[in-house]
Amino acid sequence: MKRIYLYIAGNDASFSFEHRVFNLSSFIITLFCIQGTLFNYFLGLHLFTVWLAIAGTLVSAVLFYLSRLRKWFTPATIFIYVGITMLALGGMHFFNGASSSPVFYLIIMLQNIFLLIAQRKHQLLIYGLLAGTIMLLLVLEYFFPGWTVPYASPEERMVDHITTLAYSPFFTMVIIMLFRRSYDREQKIVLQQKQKLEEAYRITTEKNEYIESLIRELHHRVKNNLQIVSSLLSLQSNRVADDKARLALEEGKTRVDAMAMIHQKLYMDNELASVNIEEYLGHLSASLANSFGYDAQHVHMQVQLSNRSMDIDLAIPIGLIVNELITNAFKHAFQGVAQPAIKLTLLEQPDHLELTVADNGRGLRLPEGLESPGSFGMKLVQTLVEQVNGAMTVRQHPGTTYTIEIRA
Amino acid sequence: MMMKESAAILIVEDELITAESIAELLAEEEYTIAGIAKDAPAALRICHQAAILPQVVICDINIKGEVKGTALARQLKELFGCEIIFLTAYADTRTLQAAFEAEPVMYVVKPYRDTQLLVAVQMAFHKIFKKENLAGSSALTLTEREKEIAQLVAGGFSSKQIARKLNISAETVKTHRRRMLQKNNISSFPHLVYLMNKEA
Repeated sequence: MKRIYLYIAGNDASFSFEHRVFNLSSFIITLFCIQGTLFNYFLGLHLFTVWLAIAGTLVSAVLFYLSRLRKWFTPATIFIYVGITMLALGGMHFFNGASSSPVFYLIIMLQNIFLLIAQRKHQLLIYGLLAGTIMLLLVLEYFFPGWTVPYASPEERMVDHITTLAYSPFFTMVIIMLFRRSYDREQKIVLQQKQKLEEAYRITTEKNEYIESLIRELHHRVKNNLQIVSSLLSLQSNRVADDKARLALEEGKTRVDAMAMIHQKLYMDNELASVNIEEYLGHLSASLANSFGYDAQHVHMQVQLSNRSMDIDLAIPIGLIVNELITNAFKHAFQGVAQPAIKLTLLEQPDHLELTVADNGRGLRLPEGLESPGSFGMKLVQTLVEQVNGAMTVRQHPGTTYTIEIRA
Repeated sequence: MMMKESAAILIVEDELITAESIAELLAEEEYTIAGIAKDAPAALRICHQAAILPQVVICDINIKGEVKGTALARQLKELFGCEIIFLTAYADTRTLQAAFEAEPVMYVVKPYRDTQLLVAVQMAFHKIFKKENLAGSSALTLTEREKEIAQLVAGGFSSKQIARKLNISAETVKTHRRRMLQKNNISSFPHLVYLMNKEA
């Protein structure tokens, strides 16, 4: 049964459901027309009905061929079928005793099938055409009683009715059952796909949460480790007798702390790869001021950026540069200065960032100061400026102003 | 002299290098270190056996063992009335919420700065003294220089930082600090800071 169905209607991989129903309908209607041709002929009905049945057979067969083998299934296919059906069944109507014939049942059956397979925007039109045909036939029958060719005998009428009324409810049922089956199957597939999607979504969410927790864990590890490095340097510097060595260790610690502070900020902001540079520089400069026994108010900060959130790849070198320049100012510039002040600015220019660190101190000192080209702090600043594709200029007036153009 | 006035601090931290450097920083500022514990049982043992009961606990949250820092902190607060300072690398909402249930004085995120920690400790002692409503025997007698130093200490500056600022040696700062306590017959510097704030 199923193989025959597949053979006639086609498989669901290459035919849409509507297309398959059309194949099946055109095939069965072809058979029905052949049967009608033979019946009409042997029952001795009017010869015109035999020709009509033959025409119906041919049209159905051609449409079945086009639809099933040539895969030609468009709204036009349906409308051609509707049109020819109207003409053929209309003719049949008058030769089978007009309203006492069962042709209306066939029209109603076809209307149901076409409504099922037509596009939604064409449904009303199909209904109008077929229901209109029925009304038109009744009107014509009334005004042109001469057109009606009555049945030759009650037996003939009975046979015609029995054939049609056995056929049309049965075929209507078959089509509706097929439709229902296809609907249920699609529902099931939709449900399965929905479950699969939900499952996939759940897994993705879990994975994301896991990855996020790994990243957080990693940040904790980084922070803890930086803390340990900083602690190690301070433990060691507490034990070093030599002043220069101790100073070097302490400087190392402040550099580590400047980096560590970025990681502290990173996690708190819940943004995993960028940091609020204004907040960061604020904390950094306050911390540096404190470590030299100065109040945070001695550093005036001004940050003008359209977006304060900065990638750590840029924030870390900027932090380290600021660390060196501010440390240098506190260390060397302010001896004997009544109102020590440092101005730290980060401004957005059209094509670059401008970082300046200015103090109102005593100006360049050699050879101990950072400015001596040989000092480690200066070397560090130069390296970092290069890393951010920057260029540094130093001005004396009489305090010192470092201006760094960053084009990273 | 009351035992409680010796300003003892317990450090709960499983990274012992970090713990050690906290201990040195606090010892340098003349706090008494009641002990360093790397897990909850050790912390409870120290408190039970201590000659000087720690009043302030600097507590890591993600410590080794069954009992985490937040639960331990609640326990120490209940059993011994300790004030809690959390010191942790964690700053996510869930950890913060768990931590705030223990009503800490301060929540310091690692990597910390010395000043942050010293301020937190100052605040913890301030809270304790306020609760006990400690009063000084009489008004504080401090010179201008001593007042300046005391104010810097209150701001969380270490002796080393103060020395650098005032261009004197760290030893001189410490001598000043000891003399202030002796003169006013006070046993710990947080107490002096508390009284100074109260006078002001």
